[in-house]
Amino acid sequence: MKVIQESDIQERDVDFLALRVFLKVIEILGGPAKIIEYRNLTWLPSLMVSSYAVVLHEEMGYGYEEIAKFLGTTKNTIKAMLSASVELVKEKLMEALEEGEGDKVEENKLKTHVAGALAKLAYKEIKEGREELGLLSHFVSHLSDVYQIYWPPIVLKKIKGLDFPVTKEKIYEKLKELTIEGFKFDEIYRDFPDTIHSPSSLLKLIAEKIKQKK
Amino acid sequence: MEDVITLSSALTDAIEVEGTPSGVQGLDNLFFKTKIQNGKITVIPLNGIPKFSVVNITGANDTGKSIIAEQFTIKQASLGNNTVFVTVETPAKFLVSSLKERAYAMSINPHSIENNIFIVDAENNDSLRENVANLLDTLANVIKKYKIRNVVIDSVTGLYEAKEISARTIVRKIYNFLKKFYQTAILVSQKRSAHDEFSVEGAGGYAVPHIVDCNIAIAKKIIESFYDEKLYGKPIGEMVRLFRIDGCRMCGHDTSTRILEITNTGLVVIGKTLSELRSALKREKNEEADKNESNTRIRYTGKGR
Repeated sequence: MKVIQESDIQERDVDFLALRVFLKVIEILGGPAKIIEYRNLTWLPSLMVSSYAVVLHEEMGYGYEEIAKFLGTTKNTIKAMLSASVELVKEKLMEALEEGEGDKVEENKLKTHVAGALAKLAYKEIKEGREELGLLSHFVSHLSDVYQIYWPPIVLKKIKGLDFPVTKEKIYEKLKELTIEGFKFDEIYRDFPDTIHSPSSLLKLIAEKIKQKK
Repeated sequence: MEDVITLSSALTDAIEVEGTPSGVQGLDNLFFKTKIQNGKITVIPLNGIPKFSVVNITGANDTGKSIIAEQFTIKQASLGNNTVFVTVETPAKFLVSSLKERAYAMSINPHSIENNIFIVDAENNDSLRENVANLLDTLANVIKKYKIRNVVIDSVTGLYEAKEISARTIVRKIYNFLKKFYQTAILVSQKRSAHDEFSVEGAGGYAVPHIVDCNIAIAKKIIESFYDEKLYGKPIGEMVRLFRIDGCRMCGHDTSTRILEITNTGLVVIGKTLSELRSALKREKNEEADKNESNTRIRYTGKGR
């Protein structure tokens, strides 16, 4: 009988996932520059707390009380964060940001439920493969050097600003000038599905097509 | 994945209901499926618990829950089906001793099955016991690496110790995980509430029974009356164990309450139903009455002479 050893035991990296969620929230809000521009840097602690709360709840199955204890806040704060309606907050917040009135959002105060909804939205995006693009680009760029495959960071750089899921036509618009490993993008993208769900799935699709063509 | 599927595509993808031996005498013929043969409905025993089902066994202490879990592990391992045993209550080295003893009692050489049993010692590892995510990640790793077919968790109650409010969330995560990996699973849960022993709440408590595929409830009963004494064949003050399948959504099953016995070699055996015991008692009484009547007649005839 084999007793499973430490090497087989998996421990989820809550810290890193919470950080990824936090970075994604910042991306949703328009990036660090926008947050500075709207003088909303005071939002960051609340966003870090809500990112952590969502990860602890979704990944580790913690209840409100456990999360509150862990994060040093109240059970009601956590409850407000985790029960916030993502759709409602997304609609209101996005409207304000799109109209360039980010500085007027809740009179510069980030309400608990808004922070929670943003973290929930960011967590969902990450789970669906839409990692914060800067972070993804950073890792892809490092791996490109290691494996000496240089097209993935170029693709990521060119698609910056696209709001995934996205149609293959929109991808084509951004990448039509590219030649990847000797193949024009025009030849690669034809068999793509109509909708591409995330930057990482786009990279995977391109890699598969190149492999087939070779 | 599509959210809405047609019945025809669902039927194509559906899993055939079949049994997998539990290693518990008297249990395997209590699950069955129906088939239409020559235009007639026929009930066919599964000869095991339904494969790919998540079975929750619940009861108070000393009702034989862990023994059933161990018998299942040994039986499955003897059939070459790799089984992972998550121990939450007993340290691994003590569990190994117990499994060995149980194997000998089942006439199985423990050495012949040692490569088919894998033990995750959550009792000894806080991160596995306290974080269900870590436990499931570890199980996923073990299932893929060692081609595991069955999962036993003894007990799930230990995974929500002092946080009973999370019981449903935790069991739901475990259930979804087991389904995703096509595992046949035994979850042991301790009955701690004051609910009636054989109620649904008795089967695990905190609405856990509603999540799993199948519930088995085991209860203890103290012999308190002369009637009980005669019915169960044990003297007043002794204890009997009662067994019942408290619902199974995967297939048909026996619904009666039965006697559960733990043999002197430490194995669980599922015995007769209470109605069978009562019928036997009634028959015995009638036979006794007949005997008394005929004795009286003989005596009367004797007096007459």
